[in-house]
Amino acid sequence: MKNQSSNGPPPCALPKLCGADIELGNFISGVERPDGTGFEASRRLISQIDGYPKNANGYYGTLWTGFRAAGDEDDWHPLGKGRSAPGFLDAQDVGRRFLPSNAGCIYIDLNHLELAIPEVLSAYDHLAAWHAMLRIARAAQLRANNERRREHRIQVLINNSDGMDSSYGSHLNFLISRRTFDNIFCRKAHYLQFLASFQVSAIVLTGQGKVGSENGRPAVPYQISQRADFFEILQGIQTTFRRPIVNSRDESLCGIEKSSDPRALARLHVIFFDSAIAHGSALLRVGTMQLILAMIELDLVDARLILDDPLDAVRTFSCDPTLHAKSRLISGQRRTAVELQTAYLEMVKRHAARGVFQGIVPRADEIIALWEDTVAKLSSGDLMALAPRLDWIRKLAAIENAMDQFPGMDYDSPQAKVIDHLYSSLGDDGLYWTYEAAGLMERFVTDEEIAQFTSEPPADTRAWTRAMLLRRAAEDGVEVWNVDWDRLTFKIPRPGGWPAFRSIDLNHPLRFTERETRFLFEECGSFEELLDGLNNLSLDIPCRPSAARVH
Amino acid sequence: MRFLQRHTDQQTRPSAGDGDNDSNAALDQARSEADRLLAAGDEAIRRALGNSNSEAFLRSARQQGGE
Repeated sequence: MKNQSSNGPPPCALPKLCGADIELGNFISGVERPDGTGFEASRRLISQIDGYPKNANGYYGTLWTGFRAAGDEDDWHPLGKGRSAPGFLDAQDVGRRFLPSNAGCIYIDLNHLELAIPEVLSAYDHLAAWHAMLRIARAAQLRANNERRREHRIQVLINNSDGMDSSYGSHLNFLISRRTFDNIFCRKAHYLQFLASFQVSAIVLTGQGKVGSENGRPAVPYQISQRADFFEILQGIQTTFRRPIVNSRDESLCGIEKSSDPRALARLHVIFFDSAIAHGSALLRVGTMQLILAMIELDLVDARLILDDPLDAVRTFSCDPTLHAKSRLISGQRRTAVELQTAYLEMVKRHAARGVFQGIVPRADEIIALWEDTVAKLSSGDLMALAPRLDWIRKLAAIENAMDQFPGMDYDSPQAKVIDHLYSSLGDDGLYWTYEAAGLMERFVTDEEIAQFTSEPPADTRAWTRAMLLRRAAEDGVEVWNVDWDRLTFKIPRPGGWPAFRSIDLNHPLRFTERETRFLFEECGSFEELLDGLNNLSLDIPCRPSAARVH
Repeated sequence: MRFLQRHTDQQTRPSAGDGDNDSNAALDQARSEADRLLAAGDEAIRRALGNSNSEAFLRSARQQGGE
């Protein structure tokens, strides 16, 4: 089906730079509270992580008093709401600290430790950076628990709901043009529907799996997606209530652009997917979205692949692990999630053959091959063949193996829910890590690649310059006053006078790469000279037209 | 209720004319290897369930909604 924009400049594809901000479940084991123990757990965790800025905007937002000294854990009490203490902030998003190691960021969001990876270009780097952040969080967990008794240790789960109607997010983000953002949310309803329908059907690739149901939904023994129960609206800006399948948050993190310019940058904020731990689930989650968004950006949208009711479909698909459930398309035809994914895949393959994704989606051919192999196995019904690749199937197998070991156990048993949670545990009791160590899980990035991202930023995005600036500031004794994804501010002492506050804008996420700025870090003698050099860099990058136009 | 076992049974039910013995043998070997490897995970499950009060663990796992 031909979909070519009739208004404005021709479609232009941007490289699909991507990131993530992912909340973790965190609590104190053995302690029961009506509101949980996330407040204390998250603060214990983040206190073990070093980063910038080290002032009220960052670090000190997580200070608290009232805890007993480390080691005396028998009787501890949180500061609690309403009590004041120096440096205590009770904001939703606190303790934000950017890491000089890899330019990622860690903070607390609504009492969940949240990990934000540095900006990367490829889905493979996204996977490696995500697992690198998990290693950083795990190290923090180990240090925090070294000070605690085992029965009150901090538990961290890489999941999206507590099984008691509270959900937390695993957000992805993708660089798109302002034109694409406006098409999806302001101009072309079928673009929104196309995206939503893809996301909904993709849960068969990306779901983590969950025992039971929540949020007032009908009971089920097991479902594919952790998040499906919580989507209540097709599109919206909110993230904490009436969650939308497609989130319309408009926060480009690319400076202050003129939104009327279709070449301006935008960022699609995706709240839909589950946290993925298995390499296959995590890679497919990002890689397929890159491909689909590139097609949307090039006006390659096929309205024949649109679901009639995505909100109904997401639960229909999620609640049937046998993959037989069908949902209606707007054409009236009924399709399973796998059949719909097959259709999206075939569309992507046709366009890939014309070179559409070159320079836009790194390693597109590999992602497509993995997607094709996965869909083929799902179609054949050989689910166990995909246990090494997809979280929801590996978790399902773990639960059913447990049923073999514990006669009388079924999906209603609390033990099933415990396995559901422990599959995603970040600690030694995490079943995923046990399976990975036993060689039961596919690997698409190596330990070395993951380790690289724990200590170094990606070289091909602005994250590199962010990390180097934080390191250089520490070396030169310059105070990091504030850090954000697209701007850093420094407090620079001036001999005999007031300090100066100077900022550097990293407006374009594809610029300020190692190749562009290394020479400044090597050649500039002073920190201010370095900032002068960075500020002088040109930010004008022409948008790359597609290699193949639709005719 | 078993999803995977039921699915596996539907997969492996012999059909008329299914006479490729070599491919069946390879499939059986692959599944045996998978079962052996899964035993490694089974031990982790036994530890997880054997050393904890499941109901208490689930109650302590209560979280606030996030995002």
